[in-house]
Amino acid sequence: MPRRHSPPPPSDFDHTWENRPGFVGWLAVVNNQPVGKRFLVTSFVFFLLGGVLALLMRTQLAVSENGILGPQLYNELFTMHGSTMMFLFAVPFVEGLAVYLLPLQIGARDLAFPRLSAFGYWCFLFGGILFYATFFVNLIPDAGWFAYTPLSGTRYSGRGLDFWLLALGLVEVGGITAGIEIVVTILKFRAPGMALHRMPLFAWTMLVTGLMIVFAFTTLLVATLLLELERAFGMPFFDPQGGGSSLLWQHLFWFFGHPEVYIMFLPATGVVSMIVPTFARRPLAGYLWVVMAVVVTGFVSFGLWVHHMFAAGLPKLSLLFFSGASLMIALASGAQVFAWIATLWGRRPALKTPLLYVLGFLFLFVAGGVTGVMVAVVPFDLQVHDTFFVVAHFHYVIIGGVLFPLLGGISYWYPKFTGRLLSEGAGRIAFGLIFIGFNVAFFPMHIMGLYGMPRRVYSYPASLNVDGYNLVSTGGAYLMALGVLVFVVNLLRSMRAGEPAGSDPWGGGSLEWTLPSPPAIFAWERPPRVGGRHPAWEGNVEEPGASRQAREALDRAPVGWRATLATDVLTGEPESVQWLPSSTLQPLTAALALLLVFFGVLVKIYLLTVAGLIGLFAAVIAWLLPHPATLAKIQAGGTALAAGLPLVARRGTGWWGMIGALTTLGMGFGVLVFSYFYLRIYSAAWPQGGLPLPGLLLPAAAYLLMPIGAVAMRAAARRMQPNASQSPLAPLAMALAAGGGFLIFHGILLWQTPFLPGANAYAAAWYAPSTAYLLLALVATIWTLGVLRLTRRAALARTPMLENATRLGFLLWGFTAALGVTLYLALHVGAYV
Amino acid sequence: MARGALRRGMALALAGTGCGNRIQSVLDPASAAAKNALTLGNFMFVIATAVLLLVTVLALVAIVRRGPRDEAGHGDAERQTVFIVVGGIAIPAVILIGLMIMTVIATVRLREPEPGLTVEVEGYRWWWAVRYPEQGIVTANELHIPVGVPVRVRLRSADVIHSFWVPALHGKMDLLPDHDTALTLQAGRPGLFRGQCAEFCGLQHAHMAFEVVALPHAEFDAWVRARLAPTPAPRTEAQRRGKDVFGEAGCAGCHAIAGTPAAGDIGPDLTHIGSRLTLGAGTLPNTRGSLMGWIANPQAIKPGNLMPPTYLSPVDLHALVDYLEMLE
Amino acid sequence: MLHGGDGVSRLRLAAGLLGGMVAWLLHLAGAWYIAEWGCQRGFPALALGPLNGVVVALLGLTVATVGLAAGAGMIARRCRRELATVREEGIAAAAGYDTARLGVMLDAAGLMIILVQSIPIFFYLRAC
Repeated sequence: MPRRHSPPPPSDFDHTWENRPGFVGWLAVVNNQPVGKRFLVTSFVFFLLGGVLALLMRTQLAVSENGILGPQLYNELFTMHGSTMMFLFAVPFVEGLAVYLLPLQIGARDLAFPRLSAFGYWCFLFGGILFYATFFVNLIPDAGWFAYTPLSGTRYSGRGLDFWLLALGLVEVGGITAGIEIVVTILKFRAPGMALHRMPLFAWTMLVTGLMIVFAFTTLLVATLLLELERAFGMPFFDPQGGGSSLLWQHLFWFFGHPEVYIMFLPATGVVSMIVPTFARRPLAGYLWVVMAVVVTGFVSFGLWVHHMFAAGLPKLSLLFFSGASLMIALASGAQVFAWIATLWGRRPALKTPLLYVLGFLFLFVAGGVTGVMVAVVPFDLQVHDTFFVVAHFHYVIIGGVLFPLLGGISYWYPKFTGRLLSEGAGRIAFGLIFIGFNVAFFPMHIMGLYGMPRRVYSYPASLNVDGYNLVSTGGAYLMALGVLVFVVNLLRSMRAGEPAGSDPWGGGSLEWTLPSPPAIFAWERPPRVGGRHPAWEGNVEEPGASRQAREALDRAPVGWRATLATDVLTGEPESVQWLPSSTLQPLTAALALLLVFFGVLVKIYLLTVAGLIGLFAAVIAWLLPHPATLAKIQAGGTALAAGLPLVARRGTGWWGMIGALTTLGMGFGVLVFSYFYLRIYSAAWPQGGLPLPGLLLPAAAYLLMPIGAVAMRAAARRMQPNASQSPLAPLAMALAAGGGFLIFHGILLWQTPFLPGANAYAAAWYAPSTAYLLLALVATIWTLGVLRLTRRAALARTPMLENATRLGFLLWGFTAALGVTLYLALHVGAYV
Repeated sequence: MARGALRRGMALALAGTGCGNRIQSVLDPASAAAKNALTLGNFMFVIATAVLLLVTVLALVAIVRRGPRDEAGHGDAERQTVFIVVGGIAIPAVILIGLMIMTVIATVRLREPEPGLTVEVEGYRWWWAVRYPEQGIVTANELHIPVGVPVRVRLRSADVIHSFWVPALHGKMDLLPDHDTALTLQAGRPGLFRGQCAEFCGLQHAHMAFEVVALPHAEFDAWVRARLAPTPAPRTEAQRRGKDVFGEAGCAGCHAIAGTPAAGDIGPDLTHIGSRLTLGAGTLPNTRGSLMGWIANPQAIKPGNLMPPTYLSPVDLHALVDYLEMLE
Repeated sequence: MLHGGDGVSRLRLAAGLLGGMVAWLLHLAGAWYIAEWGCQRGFPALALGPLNGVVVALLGLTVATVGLAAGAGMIARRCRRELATVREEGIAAAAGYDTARLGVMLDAAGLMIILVQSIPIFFYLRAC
């Protein structure tokens, strides 16, 4: 692959990829590299803040009966420490790494939905600021990062919890969008020839992680919304006094919370699987076994949630199912550990900083893994659950298993980010301090836990005999902090003073090492061709003519609009030329509107919430509507023609994006329906409190309107095809009428329901999905309205873009219709069973 | 009396001089259930250590040992696969399936025997109400149980979720506000076992401890009889004055003393306060000094607990404490 | 591009790839819900001789999901065999072949985890 050391003078192509200058231009950036860097830097700052909180906590715990902080502040600190590390550091950091690296590693010019990644970043940033704003208004959340109900309800917790919930909501939205983005990018934007079985391991782990984020974060998002509905509007989902269940929150939270651990861990293993082959100078041993382990981990992580609830009084039988799954997931980690060892075996690798972190990871992660097996065993867990033994266990897993690989990853890719190497000497000192400090800080916690020291206590009596261990642990924490400080200074100093890295300082095998450091903003002047798992190690590859034609057509092209190659999900062969957006303020506007929605709830000025919702709808519509000038440029340019490819593929990024959105919605409604049935298990009477049973006939008539609309949308999509003869206007109008009719009909039925959402848990659990469905139907109807308007514009009639929009509209309608039938069966018919 | 000795021991332990004496440790089991958990833990600890050592040694050998001179070095894929499948999957699978069967058996064994006694424990922020429904005894923050008898402890929370944990006797069980949970304590030997709330329950979660006093049969029966005796009337002038202060200072608004007009149900029942081991749910040893300090300003000792400071003249405070100490 | 290579449809590949894991997920979620509901309310209608209704439901679920995982494994194996001979011939067949192999491994894993987490059912045959 050619490596250009002196770039050619800027051309129209470079100009196409240039961003607007100035501060507004900075706000309008959507490219993956700057957005990825923003994710990385912001989340790393939050990591440092979370670390400071941890040091304060360790200071308080240094000796028994210590009075430095007091209970209130201590509880606030551990709440913020956990929330920061989980939501503001680990997940955004791995997302940032993926946002930055994936296009370089799989050979694309950007992510599938650049505006969505910028939107995700703004949501994350606003959420993080909202989290830390609590320190300035002295409303710091204090119910733990897990916020168990009823402690987190209004009766026992103040406004800090509203901040926590709403900030978390924003961060979750950012997380979900990044998740969908990452999955679709990996599926659709791989370089020609990068078939599924040639994908770098980091991409595999991010593919699985992205999917996990979609399912897990959606669960948490719905759970936080339900808790906020309870707190703000008195809908008692979790409040026993209103018929709610105190344990429902735990089920929802841990159904998110356990996968969350693996959402952080899997990308970290992906990093390890990239570093290890580079330093061993050979391919990863047992590639398929490692992929299998990653996929198994992704799935099984959703089957471990109850092992956080072994002491919650559930039937013993159901605990044991989860014991089984919790033990079995260790096998997936075992396979990976042995694959890494097999890869390194006998290769005498150079012990540079990235590899040191990997070796530290191997030791610490296995140490945390074996205690993980111990806490999967019910009778033993009942003893150590919620003690410092568990604190030790999960810090070994999260710091050892996640932070170490990530620090290794930073050391490994820093030259790619900045063009300069980190100081190796400072890097080793930092590693040594962090490794020793970590073990000194956390190993004694195992013993403290066994001696009976519970978690989340600001003070402990001297009679527990754990003073010495605590003091040592605090010393270790400071040592570790010193190591982190050295690491940070190294990062900052090397930016200017580091040795120039060249394109490939380590001799890595994946695609990003064939690019200059740092890469151009579009990364690839010409899309690369891949013939194996380690393109940088492999020479020229055979290439089908179609692939060559497509790549040549995209060589420093198109000009005037940004584009990359979209390829087939399985084989990676070129499929279409995908338009990519340029700088725009749309993501920022949409994120600000969403912030306004949440802020209105926070200050209880619901007019702001309504205004925000309208703004959000407007922003998203503006985002989705094609810009006529751009459209003209795309259609005029001959790039797609030269590439021999269409501009829109049947299963293109839009289709996959819609599938992602519908999956998210399906999961969200699934959580609502699950909550309904969970509440039902533990209610003596259903409906609770003598409320009337829901109607059967009229709701059936209403819900049936949506399938009618879906059928009409299907007809419209057919009539949009280039060779169709009939006009699509009539079926579109029919779908519009069905949607509008449903909105009015269903709205009236909701209005006339003889009880209010706050009446009891049944009422709350009935209203939540019924009302959310109204919003979904509104979205589907607006989609149809949009298509109808565009159809009447001559320039757009019968374009592939519009046909695609109609097909996606049919997908949305079909999903909505099926969901409506499900809800009708569950909430209406089901109540009589 | 045994109780006096226990109290002294407790005071020493709380003062931190009970060296080497682990009062709340998983490692000193005093019941079959706790012993089972520890045995399982020890067994796993041995395996865990072996696994950690094995992986560490393998990793070190992997990077130190020089392999065959094969610069392209793709390695023998088949041998690598065998290594991964046998070392990473097959051997651990055998161990883990064995462990699964052990887990199931040990968990089934937690199945409760027919109880010989039932105690109800209700969790409050941040103390424990303890009731013996069969005997009609109400107390707080300590459970007296007979050695060798399976004692059914029925758990319920009055507010948020708490967790009942006496490491020497049994693993944790949560107290929920919306349904009952339970566990069975069966002490294998007499002794004083400390327990503590293990589920974060708000501000003073750290100071929500309790004591389990396991007594030989005869002593337990004596304890029950003593509790059932009518509440003694004040004998001295100071005690009489103290009883009046209890009413005048508003104590009765929150606390109950059986046989007197005091019937508050917000704070712990004080019918047997004089014989309690600790104050403030395991926060202080129950001595005259600490009782006075607690009454005068509980917020200085356990900030945020629901009891307000009580402003009394020194004479009244001494009288009140005289009265309370009499209530055994 | 509807085919993964030589007559093996993508639907079959996907079923073989993910069937085992989906079966496992169904088993775990189903078993949890049956235990949660059944141990609270019981399923007297399902009781079969000495077996209580909850156990009958759980065993039924186990048999069904084991069948699902095994079926997916069979599909994956057949895909693998069909593609083994042609995998040198094109990228689609090569990718399909490795996907099918991955499917066989995943289905086996799913099957094994279902069986391991079913062990406790046999210790609770009479009561929850």
